[in-house]
Amino acid sequence: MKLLGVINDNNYLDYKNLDGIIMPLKDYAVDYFNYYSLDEIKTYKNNTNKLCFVVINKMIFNKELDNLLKVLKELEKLEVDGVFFYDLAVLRLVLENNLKLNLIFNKTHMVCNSDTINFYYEKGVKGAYLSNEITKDEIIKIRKNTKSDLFILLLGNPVTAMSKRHLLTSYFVNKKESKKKELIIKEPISKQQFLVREDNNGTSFFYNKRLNLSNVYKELDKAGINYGIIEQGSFSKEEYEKLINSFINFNKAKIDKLAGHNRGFLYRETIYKVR
Amino acid sequence: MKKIELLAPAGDLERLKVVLLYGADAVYVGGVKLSLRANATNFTKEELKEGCTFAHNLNKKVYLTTNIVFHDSDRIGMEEYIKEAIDCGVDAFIVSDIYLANYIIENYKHVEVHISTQESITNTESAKFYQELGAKRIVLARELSKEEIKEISSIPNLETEVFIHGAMCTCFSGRCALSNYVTNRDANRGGCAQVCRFAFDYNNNDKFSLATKDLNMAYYIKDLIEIGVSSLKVEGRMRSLYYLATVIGSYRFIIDSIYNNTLTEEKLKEYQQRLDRVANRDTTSQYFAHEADDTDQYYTGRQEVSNQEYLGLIIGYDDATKSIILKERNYFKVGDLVEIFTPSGEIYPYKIETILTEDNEVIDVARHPEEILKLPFKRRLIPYSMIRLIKKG
Repeated sequence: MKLLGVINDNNYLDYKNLDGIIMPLKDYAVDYFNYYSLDEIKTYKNNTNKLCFVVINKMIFNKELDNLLKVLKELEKLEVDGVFFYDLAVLRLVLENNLKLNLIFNKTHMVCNSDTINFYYEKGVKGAYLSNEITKDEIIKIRKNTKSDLFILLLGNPVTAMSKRHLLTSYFVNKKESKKKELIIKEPISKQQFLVREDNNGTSFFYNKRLNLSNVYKELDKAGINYGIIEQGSFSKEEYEKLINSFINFNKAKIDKLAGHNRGFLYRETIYKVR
Repeated sequence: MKKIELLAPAGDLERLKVVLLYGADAVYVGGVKLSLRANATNFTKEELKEGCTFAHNLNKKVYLTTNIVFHDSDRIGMEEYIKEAIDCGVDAFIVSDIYLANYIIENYKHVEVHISTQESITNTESAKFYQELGAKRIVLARELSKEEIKEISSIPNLETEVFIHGAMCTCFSGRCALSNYVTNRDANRGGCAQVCRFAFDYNNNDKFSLATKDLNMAYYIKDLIEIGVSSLKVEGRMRSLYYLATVIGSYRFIIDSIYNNTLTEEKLKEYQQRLDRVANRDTTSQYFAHEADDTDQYYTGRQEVSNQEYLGLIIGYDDATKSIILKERNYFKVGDLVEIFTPSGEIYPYKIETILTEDNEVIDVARHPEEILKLPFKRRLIPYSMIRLIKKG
């Protein structure tokens, strides 16, 4: 399994032990903490021989389509290793314009079954970033049923929701208080906490308990999951490097000590018929 | 030009009949599988067949929601389920998952596929992608402005459907798993617990709410007709008969009056008030006229108010006492001013002077929901007529 980082500090050229990084594109990506310009992506490409994946996962509106095509053409020129996409406008523009870009199906909570991944694969989409809300057995089953490259979040704060609304702005306007760009909220009964973050594209909600799949890392690697994503989150440079190295020279105890034991939905099938 | 469609929700067979009788051109329902409202009553095969027959006899249509984001285990029996639904007579499937959409398009040329709002289609490129796949219609994202709806609706030979009334998701449809994380109920497989309506703790003693007000587009129906939208959708498969009858009846009146050039500002205001009365939350036009902002939100947790103006469903006529027979829903008494309204749009103002029990005993107060009562009335009314409170006596 190749290890990809999502870097939150300014040292995106420094994490040499990773196989590559994921760079959410400024103005075209949502649900991340740090975004990159085309120039920064170019800098990364020019200064490393590592993998470089770009994220364009916002909902696209008509007024953005012309620029989106220009951006995709730029990314083709930069020969990035792949583009994570949510909106099918990206797929159609790539197909219509015969752009040589590897696409990765990245519909956050909607990448849950083999058939859909295979459908996109046959359309030329080479990879799929699996949803965080599926079980380990489902991940392995999908691996067996598809040829697509599969990406999973190994470690990080899962995004739980995204709104076009500027919910923090509205909240603080209503309270007549100065606006905060980020806050933590807690659901009082379940005690679950969420980090809420607002930017120009709207508001994202992140689960405030870090997901850590160290316990199945080896099994998923053996099963053939191609890419594991390790987000820096709130880790310092030193801690993050330690984490990355603990995956490379696998040391579960070290990883868990740093990142906790939340295994997400690995063994917890969601229910949907409440009787 | 084809008249715009009024599309209503129905959580069960009775609701299906009511909304079609009150003026919907088509109805969307969930079956026992693949539907995003796992807790709606949902239709068995037999009910679906009966619903389709009922609708087709009125020259109306039935759309089946099959819009879950399925996991591999949900795949079992999918083909058989689709075939059964087609045999029952459904006119279209509302689908989110692209594999399923493609499966139906490739295997059943005579049945329409409508792409669900779960896909949050916000631009012409993604709309064209689905059109090229073979979808007949797309249900647009609720985050679009008038101009954006117009641009997508101008794509030739692709129908667009927009929500005009009811509850709104706070987040982009499909881009929310809050329910999964808080309740373990899968939002994209029909288990959404509406966590966006919960009050969250913030900063120890503050409350944070992300709940939105409801949608009400009564004032913008003319615009939606003019910009080329094909279908106007009302949300609420689990809403009451009374709510559905009032909302569908009101929009039927508004649409017909626009086409007949008879809609006055006064009438529009009257129907807007009727819609407001039956609503259990405040309403706005959300993104249509401006970017959603602080005026479209709630700030103090759950905001639903219980509506008690629905007094009863008329279920028959008693020739002996010349009375309508009704099943009581809410408290009423002698002296109350009410309106009796019918699926065909007639409205009769009425002052309650006598209330009879099933055994013709005279009472002053009706206080037991589900009780069968009678009210003297000179004419027989069609089934599913209802009574609402206007003013307490």
